[in-house]
Amino acid sequence: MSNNGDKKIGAVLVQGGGIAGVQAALDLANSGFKVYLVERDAAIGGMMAHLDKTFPTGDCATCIVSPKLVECARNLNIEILTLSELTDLYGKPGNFKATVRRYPRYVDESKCTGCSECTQVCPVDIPDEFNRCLGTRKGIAKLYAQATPNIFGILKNGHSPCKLKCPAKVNVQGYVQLIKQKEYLKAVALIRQRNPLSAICGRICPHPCESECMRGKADDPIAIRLLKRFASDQEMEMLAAGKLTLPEEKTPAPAAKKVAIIGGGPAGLTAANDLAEAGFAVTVFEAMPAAGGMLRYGIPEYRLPKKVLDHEIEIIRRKGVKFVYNCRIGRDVTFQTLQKDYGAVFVSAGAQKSRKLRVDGEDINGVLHGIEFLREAASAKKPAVKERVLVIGGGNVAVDVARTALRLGAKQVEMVCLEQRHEMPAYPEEIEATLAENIKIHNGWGPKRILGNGSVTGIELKRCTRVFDDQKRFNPAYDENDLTTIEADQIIVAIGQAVDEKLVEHIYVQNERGCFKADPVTGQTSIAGVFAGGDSASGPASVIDAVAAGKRAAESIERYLLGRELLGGRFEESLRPIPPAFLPTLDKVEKKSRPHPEELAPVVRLNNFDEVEKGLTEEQALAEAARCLNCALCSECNRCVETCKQHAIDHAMRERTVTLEVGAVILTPGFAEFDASRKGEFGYGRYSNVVTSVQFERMLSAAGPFEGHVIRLSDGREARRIAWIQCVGSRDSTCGNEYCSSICCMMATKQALVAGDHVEGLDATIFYMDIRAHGKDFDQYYERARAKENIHYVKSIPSRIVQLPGSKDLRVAYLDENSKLAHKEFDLIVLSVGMEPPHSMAGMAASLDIKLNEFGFCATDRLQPLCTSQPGVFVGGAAQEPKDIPETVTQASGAASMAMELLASARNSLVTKKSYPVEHDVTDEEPRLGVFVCHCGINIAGTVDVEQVVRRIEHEPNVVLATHTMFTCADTSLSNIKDMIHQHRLNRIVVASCTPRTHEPLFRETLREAGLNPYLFELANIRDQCSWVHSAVPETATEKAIELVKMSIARARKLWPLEGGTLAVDQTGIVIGGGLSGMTAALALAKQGFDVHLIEQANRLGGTLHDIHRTFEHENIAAFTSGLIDQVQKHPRIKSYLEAEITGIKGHIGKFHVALAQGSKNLEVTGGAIIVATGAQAAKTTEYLYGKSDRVLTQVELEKQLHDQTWPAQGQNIVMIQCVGSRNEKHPYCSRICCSMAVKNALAIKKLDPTANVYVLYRDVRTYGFREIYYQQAREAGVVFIRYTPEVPPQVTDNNGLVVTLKSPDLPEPLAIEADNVVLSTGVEVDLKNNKQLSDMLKVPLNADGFYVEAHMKLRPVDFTTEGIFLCGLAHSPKFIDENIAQARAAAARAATVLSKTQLDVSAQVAYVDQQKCISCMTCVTVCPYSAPYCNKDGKGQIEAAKCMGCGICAAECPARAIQLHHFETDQFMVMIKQLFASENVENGEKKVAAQRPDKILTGKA
Amino acid sequence: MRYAYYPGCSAESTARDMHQSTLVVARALGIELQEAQGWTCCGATAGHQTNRLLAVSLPAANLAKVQDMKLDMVVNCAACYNRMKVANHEISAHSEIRQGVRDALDRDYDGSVKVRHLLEVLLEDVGLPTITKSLKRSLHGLKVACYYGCLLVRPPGVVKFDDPENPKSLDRLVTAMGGQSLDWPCKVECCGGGLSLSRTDVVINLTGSILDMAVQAGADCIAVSCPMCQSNLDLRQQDINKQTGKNYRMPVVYITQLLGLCLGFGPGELGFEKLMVPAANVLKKVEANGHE
Repeated sequence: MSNNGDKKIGAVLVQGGGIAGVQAALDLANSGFKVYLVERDAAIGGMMAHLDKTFPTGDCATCIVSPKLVECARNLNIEILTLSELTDLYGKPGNFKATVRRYPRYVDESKCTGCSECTQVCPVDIPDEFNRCLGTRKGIAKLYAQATPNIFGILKNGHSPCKLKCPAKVNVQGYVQLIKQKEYLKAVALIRQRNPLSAICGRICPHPCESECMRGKADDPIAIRLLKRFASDQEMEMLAAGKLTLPEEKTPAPAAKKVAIIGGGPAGLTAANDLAEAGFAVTVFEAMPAAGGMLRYGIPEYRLPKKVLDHEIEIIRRKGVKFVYNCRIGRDVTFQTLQKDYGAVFVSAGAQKSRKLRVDGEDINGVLHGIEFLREAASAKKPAVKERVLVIGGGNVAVDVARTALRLGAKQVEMVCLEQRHEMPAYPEEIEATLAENIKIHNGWGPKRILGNGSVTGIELKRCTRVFDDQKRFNPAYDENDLTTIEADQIIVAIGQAVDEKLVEHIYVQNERGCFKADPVTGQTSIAGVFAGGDSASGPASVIDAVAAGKRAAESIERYLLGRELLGGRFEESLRPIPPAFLPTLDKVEKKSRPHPEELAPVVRLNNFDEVEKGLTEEQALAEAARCLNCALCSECNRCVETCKQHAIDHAMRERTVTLEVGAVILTPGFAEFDASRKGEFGYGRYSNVVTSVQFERMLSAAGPFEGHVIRLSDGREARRIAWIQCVGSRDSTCGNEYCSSICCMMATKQALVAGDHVEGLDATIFYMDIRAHGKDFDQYYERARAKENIHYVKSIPSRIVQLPGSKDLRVAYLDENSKLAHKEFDLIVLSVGMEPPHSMAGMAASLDIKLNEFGFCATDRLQPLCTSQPGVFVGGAAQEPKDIPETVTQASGAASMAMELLASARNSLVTKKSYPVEHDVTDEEPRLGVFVCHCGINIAGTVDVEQVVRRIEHEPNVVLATHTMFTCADTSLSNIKDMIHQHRLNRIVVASCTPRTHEPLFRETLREAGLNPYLFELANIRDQCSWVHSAVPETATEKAIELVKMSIARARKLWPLEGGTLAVDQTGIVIGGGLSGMTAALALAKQGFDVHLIEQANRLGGTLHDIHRTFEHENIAAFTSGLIDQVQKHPRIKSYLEAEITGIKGHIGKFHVALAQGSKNLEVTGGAIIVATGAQAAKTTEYLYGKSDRVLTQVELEKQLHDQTWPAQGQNIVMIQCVGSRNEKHPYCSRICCSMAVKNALAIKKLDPTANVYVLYRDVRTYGFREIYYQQAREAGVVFIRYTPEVPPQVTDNNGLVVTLKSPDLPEPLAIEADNVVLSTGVEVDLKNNKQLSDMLKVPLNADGFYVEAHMKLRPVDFTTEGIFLCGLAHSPKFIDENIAQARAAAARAATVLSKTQLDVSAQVAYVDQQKCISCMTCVTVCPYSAPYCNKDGKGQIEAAKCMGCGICAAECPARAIQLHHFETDQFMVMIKQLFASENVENGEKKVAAQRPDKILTGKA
Repeated sequence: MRYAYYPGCSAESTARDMHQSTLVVARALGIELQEAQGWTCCGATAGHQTNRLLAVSLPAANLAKVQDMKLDMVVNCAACYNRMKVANHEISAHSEIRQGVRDALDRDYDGSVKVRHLLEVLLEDVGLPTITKSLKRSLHGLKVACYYGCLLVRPPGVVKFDDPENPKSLDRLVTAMGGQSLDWPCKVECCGGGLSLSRTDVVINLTGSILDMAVQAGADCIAVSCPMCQSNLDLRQQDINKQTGKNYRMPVVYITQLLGLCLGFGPGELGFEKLMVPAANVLKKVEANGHE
């Protein structure tokens, strides 16, 4: 298939699940394309999900965004890939292969029901990034309460340093967290997963983990060993108290493969434990009469009581391990026999011989050796000790020997070793204990010879001058002349251990320096099937090293016996360290020291072997566990795993990549907030009461960490005096961000207004440079805020914040309105942080080969604002340029249109449409109800007695089946509902569970799949409205739940099947207005394959675009204009109507009729959707002598003269006056473009004549986004910007020459400028008469300024509330070329969601008028926001189902009660109310009475 | 560790205590300070505001001398340090200035001598572990407000020393000596250095607010490393008290004096008697901590 590469693929990948990505995905999916919505985070929603309210609408951000997110999740053609990112793209436009990296969630998305039980048991508290670290979250959590998809996820960083340092890789963080939760047995079980000798290591482990503990860098490391001991001791205490029994004894299966283990020390025991658990038949051959090796015969009992050892050996034995005692290899059994009889052999025989001193006199009577001495001491027959004992050696054995000798009755014990105190190999705490027991240590001496004649009398020592050489190797040097002598009756040599030579002879695997040679990773020896580990392979090491060796060998032996390769994919390969940048920060850690357990006093210790160290108390242990910093985030304690009833949690998930075939890519990755700590002068991160604007949003949010309370972080007091500092990280060359972030002025204004509702007596101050309220209706909003007495705007940016010691109030120095230095103190300061490119942007740009601009945002051309440098890859939202929500949504729809244009031929090729079985006719059936009551895990069942609910409703009339399920929304439960429908012939379903808002569609879908009409479903909300709010009173809550379910049952009996109609779509677009926006929209639709009627009033296309000659970036707009007109005129699908007047509009979505008068000709065009692009023009003015002096001109006129080169350059002084006729009472809005236009023309003048003086008189310079750069250039070029206030506007006089006078608030004296030219920025205004006429015909509203009003300012910026009609261009509000282009394309994309369908579904949930009852008052026509009701030919009200949105306003308002809303009919509610109030009478009266079927159930039009 | 030492004019007059304690501490820590022969004024006074070329030539004359010594230059006074750094920066960046300096000095200097503040040497070359090991006494229980002033850390692009807003070098030393370094808001506030003699009213205002913050933060003393800062903060307390009715008695000590105490030297060897506001409380506390 050679042309496969040319085939267009009808799927689009959208990277970034913020509002932009969501909008693009919805537009594409709703117009016939498959969408992969790829999001880096665990849920979609982006920045909007963080916001409290939106400006200037005051909506709750979550409330308006959530429905869109849910819609995305429900759309069959949108596949949401969370925790994913696009990493590579091959192919060409129309046919790409996209590589997407998917990070593990550790929760199976298909199984998680969002019940939250896991998060309730999770012990880990970590800073919550979503709340910008104002609070904590659990290791397993949802990103935020309303997260879509509504599922949990686990955060991991890697594995913590403590675990990685542990030779056995014990999950330290995990068991410490379990101890914190008092889950001691679970903690022990977790320890034993990696180390079966928990209680033993809790006493004698050298705890290398503690040296790595991050907490140790802040204060003290966590007392890990002591916590391990504490948990293990709890287990033993419970056993002793009979609260716990030992596990059942197991025996291996008869066919189990056999393993022999030589030596029952820690390595052998560990291997035996693991192999027995894996199902092998394990036999341990032990030379001594009991197991334990050095644990039993080396470590004295005062450190490790035998009962602790016996306890843990017993647990291992019960797993089915067989022990053969007193069995020495080569004596009682031969190695060959073992090899023959067992599938594998593990050699872990230990190092059981003492090394010799090899000096004169070592054979004298009274010289003993350490290991043998300890072994005897551990047996019943204790060795005899003399009065004065001298121990030679500085290691742990030597210390043990010395302390044991003391306990066996020696009067005086001394030690001699080569090393200085700090070099001694014994553990420091052991040395301390030794010294505490009055044992003297002679450091720095080596034995020369042992003195004595027949029996020992002492030792002669020589000075040791060095123990280790420069390479740190053991290489002692002596001063043979510096000698001394110590007298002793007994000398015990404890200078090291070795493997028994005899054993080495008998076990004939290869050996090296007296140890068995074994692979360090696998433990494999020179003989296949024989493995070795522990001291006999590695030489003497610690107990935990031996355990680790046992683990490794067990893993290898299992692999060996199962015939798998030994290397590759071993446990240790699954471990990865935490990247240093992600380790916890320590500067905020509150210092607390670790506990010190009690010890037996030295005097009490001496003549007994009682355990010296006591364990921690419970109080100490809990406090200690709480100090853990949770370095790895998730502790992998497995609490969630055992709690999740859906078995959804999988800690072993790994990152993976998938390849997707897509035709186009849309990038909407959003933005990153500026890191405020980069501006050190504001003290963010240093002063606790300095927060960022995003943190403040979380503070204001009712769902945030403080539930909407505005508090000081230092003391939790309510913050009353709050200041905002604007432009933090914006308009600032010191941090490389010279651009304006566009949104912050409005955000601060909104935050001040909203904070006023939260804080009584709020005193707000906003420090700003210019207030940039350039969006639609923004300036009015700003003026409202400014008029408030408690909100102060100060035009000054403070240079420093100072935190006052003690109160932690914040002092700001700034210039007041008189340019005098002033100081003010605040409770809280909010830094309005700017926007930066998302952190992922640079990497993504590199891998997709996309150009970025100088600031790292996606580079685009002003005339192609949605195109990246890579064809087929489009961009929208803040990643292109900082912008607010409406423009983001607009660009997203625009980018969707770009993709639709590219992939027009592949539309509908990859979309799925679900088919359903034929609906079962229930018309003549009596209601047969199935009621399913949901536990929702413990969300409902924890409060409401679900089973009682079922019992109390199961005998209600018509109830055929009543049951309860754990999660009714789980896949298996839904299948069960379908089965029950068939089995019991159910024809009405009631689910008592959460909320219809999220779950009704799911259950309706289930009904449809089972062949029932979806409207035969009723949901009783017994969670959000019952169990959650009444959790304190479970019994009353249960009663309420019963009532709620009974009401739903009553209503369900009255439910009838409804069928929505369909209406045919005329797949032609109508565009009104032939300017830039109209032409762009028409072309976009035509390129998508739709026919378009383009209607223009004037005699040529182009509109006001003809007045624009150049932009900052483009010299020749005229060429662009004529090129665009040419494209429109030549496009076969576009029919233009010039000089055409619209005389009437009829119809509705899918079929509009537009009547035109073209000269004398009357004609009609029809189409399924209308785009309004009627534009606006430069405002006229008579101010400032305009029209009276030919030297006073508008910016448009100036631009034309500059372009035509007719600019006379009349003189040197040019004064530009901004906001002429704007931002005043008549035109309260800001025209957005004038500041940039003035800057553009000023720069052009300066370019023509650098000596010209250009003065710009302004109120606020609103060069937002990247246009700020040109403002900067203008100032650098010498253009002078002087501020004025509307109270004192400039005056222009012309008495023998123009003079402009003004009083600037920033200058001490009034100014008079002799001007050669005065240039007026007059703003943008609409043709009010025209707009009024058209809006009447379209039945769409205009705002007070005459601009059209969109359906929703934030999220539906190009829709009208009336379906099928869309809006773009200057008719919406003033804007620049690039913004018009994006908006026109957005309108085209939105129109395509209609035009791409041959027919539209009409909702069944619509209102209808009973013609008999209608009194023709036409109230319905007046109140309907969607223009659905109309006066029909009989003079009665009638409802156009295609327009009805089912809101029910008409039904409520109808004075004659002639209107009913299907599915929400009066009697369907009345029975509920009756059920609630009236009780049994009603119940009996209604019993088994089938409701009357209404006359009409089929609504909508065919 | 050998360095060319530039003491600066105040070291021989108002800041003899700084000079003295610096030498004592350096010797104890094995820092060999070789005084630059024939050093002259760095121009931190009126000189640097008079003429750009003069402002660079004065420090350059000293830098050129040090270049011949083939050593890094160590400076203790923040003002001198700043002048030296600025001179290096200007000479390296502007060839016309280098030419001007050549004409003025009659020799070429390329701006390459490494200028180090004593604090840098202590923290980077000697290192806190070594210092900690050498300590004989501790500042345990002493609350110290570390004051850096403005010249040591600014302009950040030129001096490249510590964090210009929240520097920590002095704090790290104080903490290493066992003292409690306070996070207070005036670490880098201007003390009015250059106006010390001409506009005492400004100085009183500026130092007054610095002292006020140190008191509010609960400081036992202010630690400085610059003679200008020291004299402004120490010398003016009496005037401030007279003019404002306050009763400041805040010892302002050199970090080298504190370090010297902890290294086991007596107050006499470190010039404590030269302080205007006696540091009796500091000495008492350190004495109470005793020898280890």
